[in-house]
Amino acid sequence: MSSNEQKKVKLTSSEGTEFQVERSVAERSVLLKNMLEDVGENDMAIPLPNVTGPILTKVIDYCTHHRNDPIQNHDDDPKKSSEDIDDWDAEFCKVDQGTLFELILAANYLDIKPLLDLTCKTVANMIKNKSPEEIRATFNIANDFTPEEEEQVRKENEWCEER
Amino acid sequence: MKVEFTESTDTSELENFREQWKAEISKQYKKDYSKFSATSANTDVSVEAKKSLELSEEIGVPNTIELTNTNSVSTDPETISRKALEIYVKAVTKEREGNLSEALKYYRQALKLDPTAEHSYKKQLYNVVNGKKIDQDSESSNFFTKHLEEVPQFPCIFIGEDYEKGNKSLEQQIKDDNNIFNLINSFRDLQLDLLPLKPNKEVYIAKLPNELIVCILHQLIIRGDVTSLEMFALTCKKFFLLSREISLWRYLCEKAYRDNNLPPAISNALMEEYVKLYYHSDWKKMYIERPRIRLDGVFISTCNYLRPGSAENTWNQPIHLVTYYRYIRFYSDGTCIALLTTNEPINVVKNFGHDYKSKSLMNGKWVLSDNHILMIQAKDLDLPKFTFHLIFDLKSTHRGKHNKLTWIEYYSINNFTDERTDISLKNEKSYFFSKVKSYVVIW
Repeated sequence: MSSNEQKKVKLTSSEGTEFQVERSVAERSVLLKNMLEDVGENDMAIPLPNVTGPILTKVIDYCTHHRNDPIQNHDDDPKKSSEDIDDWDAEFCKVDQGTLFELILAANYLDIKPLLDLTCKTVANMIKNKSPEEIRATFNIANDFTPEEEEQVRKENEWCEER
Repeated sequence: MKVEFTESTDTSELENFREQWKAEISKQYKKDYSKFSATSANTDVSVEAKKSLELSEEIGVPNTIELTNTNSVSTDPETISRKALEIYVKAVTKEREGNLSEALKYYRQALKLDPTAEHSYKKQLYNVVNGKKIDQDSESSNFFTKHLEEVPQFPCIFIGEDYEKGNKSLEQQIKDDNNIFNLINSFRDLQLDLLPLKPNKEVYIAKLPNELIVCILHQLIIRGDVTSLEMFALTCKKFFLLSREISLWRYLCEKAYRDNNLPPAISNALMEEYVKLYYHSDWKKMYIERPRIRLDGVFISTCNYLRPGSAENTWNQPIHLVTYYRYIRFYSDGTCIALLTTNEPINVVKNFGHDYKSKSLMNGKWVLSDNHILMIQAKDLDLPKFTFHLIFDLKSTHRGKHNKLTWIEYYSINNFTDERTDISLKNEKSYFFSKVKSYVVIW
């Protein structure tokens, strides 16, 4: 058991940089966990062509910090997933938007559900309680509605001005 | 970046019908099964019928028009299409009445006569709601307008004064629905790219495929924050479409209308039936229209009464205006708290929760039945002998939906003697909902 824990796994980022992580860290990723189970004892590096070095570094950071967390149930468990973001996670997500969206893509690709939830929640918090103008400014998105279309959408959404 | 929208809120009437119909069949099947009567003949026939319906659609058979015995023999295409429309209207009526097997019969007939019957039905409907004249033919226009008048308002829920005040007319509703429907369709045909607001800066969010943006929206609504979702929808066309993703609204409905007495799977299965039956499988429409108890705030009733004061040194007797407040906050687990106090909302609302400390705080359980009757059973720790029963009618106002509670009954039951004592509602006023941002909805 403990010797298994010590076992290192090699990962290669898209640039070809090699990373060594402990197996328990790599196994936070369901994709890697399944791969390792399929491949068995093997010294070959696992190529991750969709993940750049800097992003992989961040992901490994996250997985190392959360290596001992109980495995989250894949079922929708809102009580668990709606808990507030803790300090470490909040700090972890203080990155520029480019990195944040890359992290979402990586978490999705590597199948790390808690990281995907965390990063998506971080983006959701950037949307929360904002006006459409503010959301556009946040994500640098132009308004492509015609005034008539915008009026129609606004009308349909009127119900939501909940008081 | 190419964007393909696979979301299918624009399921045609027929599509909806077919879904409902399948559900009916499966229900029928289950019923039979439970009776151990194992007569599968019924189902087999229906399955057969369904197949042939699908088949005739797929192949587009009706180029060779085959007249059924009920129709007069005529080859004039205009007569045929009018006849088909008439039958189609019958089918819609039957469907709305919930008579699905009859409806199926008419749908089949209509489509057999004229494969474009559905299209012409929609066209007529569109014309009517837009106030245009219906096709020259007065006969067809007559039956069509009549048909529209017959269309019941779905869902058939309470109609109070307030409700009507706040509610759009049916025609306006159809018109608005149509507009949005057209809008969605017009967007869906486009390749929607996110355009930069500032051209020199990157649009990072454009890197995400649609399903991951939907993941973000799921996180956004996880505590029922629909307002933010609707603001998001107003930013651009692409986000407008993504905000309508069925899974989001389905999640909201499954939480908001959850029957606490049933296991989640069963509650959800029943809801699926419900949304098909009353909202044409439109989860968003159901969430907007079907009455639900709001959890993201507090209901407050402000009451006044006059109390004659006593004064020794004046000739005229002073009269005091006493104001008191009733508060109720609801939780998703079926519990609630109620309070009667002279404390003003500003001092109460912020901390009003299960751990709120106050005299005469009542803890209760609530149930919403029939989509509008709210029943509360509550206990006051200081009066352990009694159980209080508060019964309300949940209503809407012109300011918003499901935001008013009007009293129906208020009484207490003595737990030892079962004696019932009615409590006067003379001074009591309706409760109105106030949203409280700091309240966290935990589903």
